[in-house]
Amino acid sequence: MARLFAYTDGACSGNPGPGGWGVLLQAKDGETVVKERSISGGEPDTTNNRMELLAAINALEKLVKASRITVITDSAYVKNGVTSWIHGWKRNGWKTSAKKPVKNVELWQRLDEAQRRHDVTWEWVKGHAGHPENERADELAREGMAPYK
Amino acid sequence: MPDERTIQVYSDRAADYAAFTKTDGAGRLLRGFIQRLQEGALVLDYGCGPGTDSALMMQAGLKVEALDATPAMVELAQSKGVNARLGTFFDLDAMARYDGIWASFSLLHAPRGDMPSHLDAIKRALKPGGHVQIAVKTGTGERRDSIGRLYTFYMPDDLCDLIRDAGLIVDEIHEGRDKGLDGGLANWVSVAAHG
Repeated sequence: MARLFAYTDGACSGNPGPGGWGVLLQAKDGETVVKERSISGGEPDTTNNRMELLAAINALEKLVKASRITVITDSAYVKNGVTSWIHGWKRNGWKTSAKKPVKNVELWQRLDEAQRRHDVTWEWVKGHAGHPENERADELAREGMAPYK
Repeated sequence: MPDERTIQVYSDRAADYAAFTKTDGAGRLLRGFIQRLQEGALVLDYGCGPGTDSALMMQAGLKVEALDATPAMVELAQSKGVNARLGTFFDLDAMARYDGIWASFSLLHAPRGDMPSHLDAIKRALKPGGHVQIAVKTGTGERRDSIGRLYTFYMPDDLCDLIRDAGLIVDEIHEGRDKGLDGGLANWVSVAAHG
């Protein structure tokens, strides 16, 4: 039974500025990649955090069937947000503990909806630290940004 | 049958298109395709345009044959030393000849109804286990872009289904967005499969 991995990354030129996101999806049987899919996209005026979120959202939304998947991001914002902060935000009606509206709330809600259909394990890796798949996700994110620069 | 107006646009703007597709080196998708093949493998560039990709594949140690329906494009490819000939997608009648077939943003100019025949021809022309990569713009329906080229659009899953219907096995699906010769942004999908 193949296991699914999604490597996600965002990129932004200026913050805010033109940005892109990239996803490398791999189905692995042991260490062998049996199927691969990549997706990228971008926007003319956005932020790095929004691109990191959109990468994760697109990874999960692309999977039509309910799946068990590990999402590997280099964004502590995404990893901490989705595994920890989001529970409090939902309890507080999407307000932070300081009673302020959650930033990028529509993307967090979309991510919450997208992950509900799947069994997701979230992992964080340090970016630009020589992880080959993370480097490829970074290349995809920069490709996604290219038409908007 | 090929769309005469699309061929006319490519004839009139062959030099523009060659400049537009000019590149310092193989992009991510072409690099991936080349990596799947052995050195000296025989490849068909199916709808080669000005021969940009053909020349890069030759530099990477592949043998290349190329086909395009626009005479000016064939001439441009030949000027790069590419073994290119004039012909439509229907002129692919080889049997188990190629290790790889590269159809990059070419088959999107064929009518939807002809696509299954072209994919069958690809499957027949590939050696067993040979690799093919097909890129099109994504969407639905058919329409002309602002400079007159006729496009048939495919959703990624529909293109994969057609490729599977031809008896090929899908390995990779890549999706992105880029500017075209018409200046507009378009979403695209590139599917890697093998026979």
